[in-house]
Amino acid sequence: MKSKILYFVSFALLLGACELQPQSGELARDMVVQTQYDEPSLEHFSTYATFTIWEDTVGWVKRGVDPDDAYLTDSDFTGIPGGYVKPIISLVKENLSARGYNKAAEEEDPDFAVNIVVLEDFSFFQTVNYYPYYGSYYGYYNYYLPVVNTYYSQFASLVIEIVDIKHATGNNDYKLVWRAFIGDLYTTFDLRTKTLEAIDQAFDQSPYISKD
Amino acid sequence: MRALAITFLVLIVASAQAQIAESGFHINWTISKPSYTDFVSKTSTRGVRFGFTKFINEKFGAGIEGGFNVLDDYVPRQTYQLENGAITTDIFNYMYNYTLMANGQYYFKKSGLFVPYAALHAGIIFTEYTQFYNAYSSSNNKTGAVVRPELGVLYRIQTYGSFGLKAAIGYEYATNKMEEYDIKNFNALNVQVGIVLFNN
Repeated sequence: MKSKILYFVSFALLLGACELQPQSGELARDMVVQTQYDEPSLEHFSTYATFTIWEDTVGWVKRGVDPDDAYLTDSDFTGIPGGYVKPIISLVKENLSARGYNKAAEEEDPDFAVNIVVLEDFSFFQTVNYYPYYGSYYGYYNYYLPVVNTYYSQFASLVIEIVDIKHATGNNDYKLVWRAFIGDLYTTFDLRTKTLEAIDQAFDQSPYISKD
Repeated sequence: MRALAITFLVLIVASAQAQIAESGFHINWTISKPSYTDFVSKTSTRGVRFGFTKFINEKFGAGIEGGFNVLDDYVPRQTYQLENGAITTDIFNYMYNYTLMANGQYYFKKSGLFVPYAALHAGIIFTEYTQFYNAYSSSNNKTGAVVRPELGVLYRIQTYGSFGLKAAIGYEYATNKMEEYDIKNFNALNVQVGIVLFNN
C-alpha cells in the first residue's frame, strides 16, 4: 500500500512542479510605461515654448526618507557605468526639444516645469497626495493634481511630470498636465538601458506633447 | 440537472452484479486545448484531476472529482489607449481553473482488464483570471457551472489487481464568462492520462 501512495505522491509532486506563473526573466524584459494627461489642458501643449528641469538630481520618495534627503544624484548609482540620473534628465530634455520646446532657467519664467521622481517601496502611495513628501525638494512648484490614481505600490517607479506654469490661475496653483509612470525599477536586469527606452516610449505614446 | 438526477437514480436502483471493483481512486494528468482565444489560446499541459469512483454495478458507476489546471498566453508588447492616457506593456494572461464535479459513468464492457466507458461530469468551476505585466499583476475571479462529457478507458493491469491506468478524452464547457472584460465562456478539449487504484 505504501508503494501505491508513493506513486500518487510522486505524480502529484510532478504536477505541482509545473510552472504556474511567468518566469521573472520574461516579466522583466521591458518596463511598463503608463502616461496620463489632463484632458482640459491638452490644448495648452501647443502654447508652451519653454520649460525648466533640474539638471543633475531627481526626486526620491521612499518611506522613512527625510524630505531634506529626498533626491538622488549619480553618486547614488555608482554601479551603473555612465550614470543614471543625468542620462535620464538628458533624454527627457532631448525629447522635449524634439517636440519644439526650449529649456529655460527658472528665473526666465518658463511655461512648464518637468519633475522627475523615483518612487521607491512607496506602499502608502495610494492617492494623488504624494507630493507633500517631496518636501523642500519640490517646494518650488507646489502644484495640484487633477488626475486621481492608485498605482504601483510596493515597487520602484520613475515618474516624470509636466507642471503647467504658464496657465497657473492663482498663487501656488500649478496644474499637473501630464505624467508618466515607468517601472518596475527593482526587477529589471538593465536599469539604465530599459529606463531610457521607457522614457522614449512615454513620449512616443504622448504625441500631443508638441509645440506644433 | 434533471437528467443528471435521473441518471443517478438509475444508478442507485440498478441491481448489484459482478463489477469492476468496489471503488477506485484516480489521479490524472490533463492536457487542455481551448476552443476559444479570448484570454488564453495555448494548449496547456498543466492540469491534474483527483477523483473517487464508486462502481455501483457492472454497468454503472458514480463519483466525484476535483481538478485544477492553468492555461496561459502571451500578448506581445503594445500600446493600449486608456481614458486620458495610454499604457505600453507586454502581458502574460493566466487562467487558473479549479473544478469540483460529480459524475456518472457507463461501462461498455462487463469484464476483462480493458473497460471502455462514457461519463458525464457536472459541477462548479472557480476561475481566476490574472494578468502579469512586469512586476505587476491584476486578478479577477468568476464562479460558474461546468459540464464535461467524456469517453475513456480503464485498464486494470492484473485481474483483481489494485493498480490500473486510465485514459480519457472530454470536452469541457464552463459558464465563467466575464462580460466586463469581454471574455466569453471557457470551453476546451481535454485529454487525460493517469493511474487508478482499485479497491476490491
